[in-house]
Amino acid sequence: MERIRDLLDEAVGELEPSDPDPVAGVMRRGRAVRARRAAVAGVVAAVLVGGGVAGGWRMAAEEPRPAAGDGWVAPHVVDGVVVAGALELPVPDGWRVVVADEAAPCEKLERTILLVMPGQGGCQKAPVEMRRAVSGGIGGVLFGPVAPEELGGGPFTSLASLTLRGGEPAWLVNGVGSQEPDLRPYEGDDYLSLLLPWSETIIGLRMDGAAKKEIVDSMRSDPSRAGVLALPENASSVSLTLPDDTGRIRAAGRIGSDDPTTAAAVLRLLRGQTDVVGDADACAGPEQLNARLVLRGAGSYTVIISLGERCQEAVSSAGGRVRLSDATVAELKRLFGIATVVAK
Amino acid sequence: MSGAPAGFAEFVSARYPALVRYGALLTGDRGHGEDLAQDALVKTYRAWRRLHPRGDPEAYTRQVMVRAAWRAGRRLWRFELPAAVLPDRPAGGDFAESQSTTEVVLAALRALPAGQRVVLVLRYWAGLSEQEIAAQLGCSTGTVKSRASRAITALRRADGPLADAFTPAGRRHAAAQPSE
Repeated sequence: MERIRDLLDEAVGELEPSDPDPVAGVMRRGRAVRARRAAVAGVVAAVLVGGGVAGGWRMAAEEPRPAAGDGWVAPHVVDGVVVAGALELPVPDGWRVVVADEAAPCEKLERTILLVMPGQGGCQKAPVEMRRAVSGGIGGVLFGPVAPEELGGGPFTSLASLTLRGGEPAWLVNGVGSQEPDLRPYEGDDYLSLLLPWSETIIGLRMDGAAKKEIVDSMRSDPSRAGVLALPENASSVSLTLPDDTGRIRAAGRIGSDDPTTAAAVLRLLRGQTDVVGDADACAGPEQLNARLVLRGAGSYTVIISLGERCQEAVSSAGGRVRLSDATVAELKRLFGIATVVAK
Repeated sequence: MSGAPAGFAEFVSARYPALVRYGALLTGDRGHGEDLAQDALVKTYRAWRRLHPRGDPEAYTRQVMVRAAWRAGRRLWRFELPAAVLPDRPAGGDFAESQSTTEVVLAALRALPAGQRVVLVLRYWAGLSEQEIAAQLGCSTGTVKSRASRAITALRRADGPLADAFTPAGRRHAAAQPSE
């Protein structure tokens, strides 16, 4: 296939740009894009203010994230859709979008999507709330391993994963640290907290189960972080929480290691996983049990592994999703010295 | 240039021709390739604070270009040129002599679906592995393999514009000789 490369080389080798001043061209184009977006934003804002929207919006950022150091993008509204990173949530008919205001009275806003900007807490509540996921370092420390002192001797649950339409992973973080498994997100009226690691966004849903499902089903996503797992260059410690077959995490399923050899072996094992799951093929669902792997190095990374025969895949908080074989999961357990985890 | 952050003008001036060539391959058209490069550079400009001096602005720009080109396979894209059939095969004689290689190759690329074209360029021009392409595009290696295979098949088609390019030199010259 060298011939193909030669042909392609030959085809463009002599090609010269037509713009003699590309820097000016790019700047002009940038100004035109901004002007277009400002005009659209004006129209959107006018429409939404009519529906009760307050606050300022940023237009959608289409560019992919640089591999590291890319920041969170504030939720904003485009054409009646709330955009937060790769997530798109259509504003339901008759609903409004409100930016949280610290000075506002404590009230529960009905039929409202509340956007909570960093530093703008307040005490307003709404059926749907969106805020930035807490991130404490490179790759996003979305939540850490369960520390032994937090366990209090009781069993701790795993968490559930969803795949939003379009492929964005979403983790149900209600159950993290609680005593009971929470693998039925659409039952009951409890507050449901959905973490979108790639969009660094947390969505809180305060409504009954059917309404929660309706909102989640209406979400669309166009993620740009699929690929092999994004991992730290080096890890100084690793920890694994692995549920038993009821979803509870018992002492035998909580292992941490500061041993550099173990950490390096875990990293090596994960880096060797190249069976990338594309956005259209992602399948992790709430009915699956999940293992939680945290790697700490220059930053901390969380990897959630959805277990089971049907759809065994790993997702890194910093990006990347790969399919794992049973042998890989077994090897991971072996590296942590876990033989089997059984319910008792 | 006024308004451009430090280092941006130098980066664009130095790398623009290479990015335009990359864009031409990804779109199959030199004009659209230049558009693609400029649009990507607008995004690079907006991300410049995060990319300079410690990042890799060229890799970022190329990634933006690839993703824009790849998305053309999933939705109508303004850079996409409709081409229902492969362009005519150049009339007889040596491939290199019959028509400008640039024109023939770009026309052949343009005739491919966007997804196949992007995979072809990444695989055979950029030299990325199937796994690397899958990672970059966010698809499975199976998708990469099938798109690459279809692209090659289309380019090798006997009546396609690049058929001669895949024909061993001896056979090509023999075929060009008039029969006795």
